Amino acid sequence: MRFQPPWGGAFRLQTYFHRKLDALPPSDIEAMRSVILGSSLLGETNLTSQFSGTYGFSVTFQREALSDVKDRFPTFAPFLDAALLPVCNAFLLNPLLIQNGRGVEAHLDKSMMYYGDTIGCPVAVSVLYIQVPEQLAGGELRLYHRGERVAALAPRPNSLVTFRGDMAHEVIAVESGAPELSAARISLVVEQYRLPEELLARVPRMELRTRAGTVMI
Amino acid sequence: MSELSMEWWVAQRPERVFAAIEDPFQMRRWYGAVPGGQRLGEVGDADAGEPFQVNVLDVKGVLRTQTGRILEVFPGRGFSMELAWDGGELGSDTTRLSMKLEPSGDGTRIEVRQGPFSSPELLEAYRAYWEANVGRLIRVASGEAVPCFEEFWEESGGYVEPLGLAAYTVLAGMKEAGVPPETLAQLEETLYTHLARVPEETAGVLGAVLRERLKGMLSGGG
Repeated sequence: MRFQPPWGGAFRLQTYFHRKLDALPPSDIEAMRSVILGSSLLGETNLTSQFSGTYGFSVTFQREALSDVKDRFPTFAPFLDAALLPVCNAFLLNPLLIQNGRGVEAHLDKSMMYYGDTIGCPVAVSVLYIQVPEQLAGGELRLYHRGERVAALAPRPNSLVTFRGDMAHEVIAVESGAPELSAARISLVVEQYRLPEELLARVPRMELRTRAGTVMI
Repeated sequence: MSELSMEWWVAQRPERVFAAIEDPFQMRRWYGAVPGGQRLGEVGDADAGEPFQVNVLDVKGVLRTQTGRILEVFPGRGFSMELAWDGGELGSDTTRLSMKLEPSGDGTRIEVRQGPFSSPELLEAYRAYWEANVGRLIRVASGEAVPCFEEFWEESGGYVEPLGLAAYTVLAGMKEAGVPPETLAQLEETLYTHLARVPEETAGVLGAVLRERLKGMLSGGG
């Protein structure tokens, strides 16, 4: 195989993230907010202990099931179209809702290890900020490279942040401004993986998961 | 039957040393690797008191696994655990270990006690093990970016195929050597631009050469 630029060309060795402001039409963002808050799937997180106290659900899918995901969640399609990297073939999509007093402890996104211990980090993680309360205090996304903080990104509504999958990161606790779920800091996150065939085979074509378990589609 | 007892002193407060133990991103920089070896990673939730496994490559490149369980944590003051290896120089005895942190002057006294051991040779192997591990802990607690296999491994995951990984090791090495960011960025662009022009067939041959050379080196040949 020919030489391929790292991270599918999305990053360089000294580039850790990209941020695009006004990423999508505001009507798309509002539609996503309504769908997330109104979803029967929404509940306490099914992700790792670092996410304790946050809310969401997750959708794992292979690229070949992208159209099925868009059929099931048509409102999320503009986000997927804007965020997915062409070199990636497996994804984990999850809304993330954080209220007052909650944050996400430092971690590496390795959610796909649920399907296989040898599946490591994603190539990239993309975050679209759906709702950022005007009076929000806290909730900053911090990125770390080899122990050094390399970015501290205050959430901006309708901004799309994509960072390298090998970056440890955390969301600082929300101090105020998000007293209830409908007023939470809401983001839509997709972990993007490039898996060899033998590992891709372990990933379901499309799977919806909540804290209660796998949801029949 | 015998017990190992060792002490160190570091010019950092106990809270700082404990943070290097408690924070998984600092801990992986110092804990686990045998002398001359590399820590590959950890499986299991040690924080929750569940059994965990630390996988390491020993100095000969043989995969070794430590199985452990945290018994007690004393915030800011240390912890106790039990551990065993799946053979190798550190045998397969299941032993108990305590690591205590105590304020001492302007720093911290670190005390390790471990046992029982079934042979003096095993005790001495563990003495070397803790010299290496606590040596790294002291460097981490002192703010040094101790090179960590897992950190480089994760970063290298952005690169594919032998030519990509060859480029990564050169670039990461130059970065670690302190090459200025702008020089590194220029070199990176030059490498990517020209390596992308290598014909597929040639890239395949060069990749095979790299694989075979590395195999030879890893098996002691070359």
